[in-house]
Amino acid sequence: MSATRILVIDDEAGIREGCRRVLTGEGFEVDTAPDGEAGLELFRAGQYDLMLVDLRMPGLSGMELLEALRGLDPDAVAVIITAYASLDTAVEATKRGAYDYLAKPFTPDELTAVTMRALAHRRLLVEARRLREQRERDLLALAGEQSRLRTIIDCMADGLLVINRDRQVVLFNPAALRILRQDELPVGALASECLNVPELVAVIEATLQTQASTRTQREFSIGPAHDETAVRVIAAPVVDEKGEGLGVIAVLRDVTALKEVERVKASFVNMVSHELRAPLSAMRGYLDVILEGFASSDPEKERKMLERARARTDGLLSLVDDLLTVSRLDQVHVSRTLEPVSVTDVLSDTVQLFAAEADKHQVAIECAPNLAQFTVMANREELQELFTNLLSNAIKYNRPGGSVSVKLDTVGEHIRVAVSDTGVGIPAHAIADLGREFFRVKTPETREVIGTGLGLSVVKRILAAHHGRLDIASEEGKGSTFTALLPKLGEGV
Amino acid sequence: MSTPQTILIVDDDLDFIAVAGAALEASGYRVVTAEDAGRGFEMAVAEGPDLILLDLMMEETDSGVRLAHQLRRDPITQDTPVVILTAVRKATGFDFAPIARQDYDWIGADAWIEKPIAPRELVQLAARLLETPRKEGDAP
Repeated sequence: MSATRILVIDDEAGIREGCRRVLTGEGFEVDTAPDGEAGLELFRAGQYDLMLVDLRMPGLSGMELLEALRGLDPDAVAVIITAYASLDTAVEATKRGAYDYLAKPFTPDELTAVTMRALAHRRLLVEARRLREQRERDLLALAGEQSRLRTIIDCMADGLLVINRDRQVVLFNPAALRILRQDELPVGALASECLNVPELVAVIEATLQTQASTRTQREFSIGPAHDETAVRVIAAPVVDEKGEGLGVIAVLRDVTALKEVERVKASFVNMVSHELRAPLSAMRGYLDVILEGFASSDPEKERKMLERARARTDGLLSLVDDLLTVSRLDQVHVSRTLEPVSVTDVLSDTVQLFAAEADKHQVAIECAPNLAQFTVMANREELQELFTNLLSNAIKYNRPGGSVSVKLDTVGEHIRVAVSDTGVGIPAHAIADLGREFFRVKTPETREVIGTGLGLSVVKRILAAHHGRLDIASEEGKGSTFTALLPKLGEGV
Repeated sequence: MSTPQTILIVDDDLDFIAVAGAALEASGYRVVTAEDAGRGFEMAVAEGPDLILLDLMMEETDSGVRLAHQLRRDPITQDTPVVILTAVRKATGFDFAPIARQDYDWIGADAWIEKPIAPRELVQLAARLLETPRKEGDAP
């Protein structure tokens, strides 16, 4: 800690020296000045804990000096030294801010005593100032903290709503207004009167009734049926350190998208279970009939049943493969290898692979022998799968003696692969549903065709992953054309 | 019994027709089949079967029930026992069987069975329904 510094300002050299000697002897650091101007100069230059000021000096008077000192430092402590001690001057001086006065002549003890008192006062003032400044700093920090918290609360994606124990709205953020579809919530208004969702009011009321720190969770929907928001509210009581209930804090979350995902997932699982169950129970039926000996008298019939069971097994295997493909294609974050692939080569190879299948169905595949060369950025396996599905459908849903025509050309910025069949065609109302998982056109002609109901979903997904699209044109009873459009990379590569 | 009794199966599930048909034929019945409700009614009127197995959900979800009521109204088939086949209990958890027993008029069927049904059980059920006529003097 630095030494206590005292400044003595008096035009009498004897007083100056006397004070210096006494106060230095007490362990203080003492400076002196012969007049007001010099004293002010020193005061400006250094820090002093106490000034002893002669009231009557030539030049700047003691009173004027006092004023100047307090202007520089409101906590400056000065003791007036006066030769003409009178109650009036003393009162006057203390009114102007002097701490005390000392009448000449004074003894060293009197000087020491008044100095000690004045310094104690100075210490109090300094301490008070320190506390004041600290409090101001704290308040500033607090204000900053509050505004930061407010900003955070206002930026939250979840709605926040605070209700006090008198059921009044205390705090809310813009997200809460948005989720609750309310323009305003008057702070201080009763929750039951200003919240337009009765379920929320009920949750708040229930939470206010609970003593323990249990969270209440509930879901409700807001808005008209065609434009509903599913909201999940999590409410918790706010309690003070004594466990006294102060109110309720409710977090509102828009779970509409989540609900939709859950619904789609549940319906997908439902559909998949049904699609897996159907071939299995058919196979089980054939096995039962054969094992029970119901078909043993007719070996031809028994063989047909076993063939049908095998076909259902193959269908089940394709279904599982298609499910895996759909799931893989749906995982967009999985990195896929894209490379320049010759559409022409992949298409020709796939057509070749279907020669036997086409023969079996008595369907002719028409494909020009010298297709123009086109290249796309693609995943080779997926491209193969795309053409496989289109060709397989064109053959399966054809009729004996029919044909499948495969064309490859360009249109605009796209490469066009068109697969046409002379099959049963698709009813106009069903075209929009094609490509929906497990959707299959049900007509007497399609009933015997074993399909997974996923082929076109796979086609659509593959095309989407390659920034392409599928066009379907069909005439019932005449046939259908499925056209895959893929973005062009270059010609003659 | 000189001529075999005829059973009509109305179902759009070809695998079920094959399995049930084989089991019933092997048990001495004559089996005729139809793959939709419209054809089912035609066959019922033309063949005058002794028993009809009817799938509840074919092209339309209620076509089976509608056909059952249609059969009840037609003089040729009104006394023919009808068994409704369904797979709704597994899918929906809803069990029609007790309702079918209590409210014959609503369902219009003599029995209500859940698929899958073992071929042997189906044969036993058919035998039971064919041996005990629902109504006295139902021979034409």
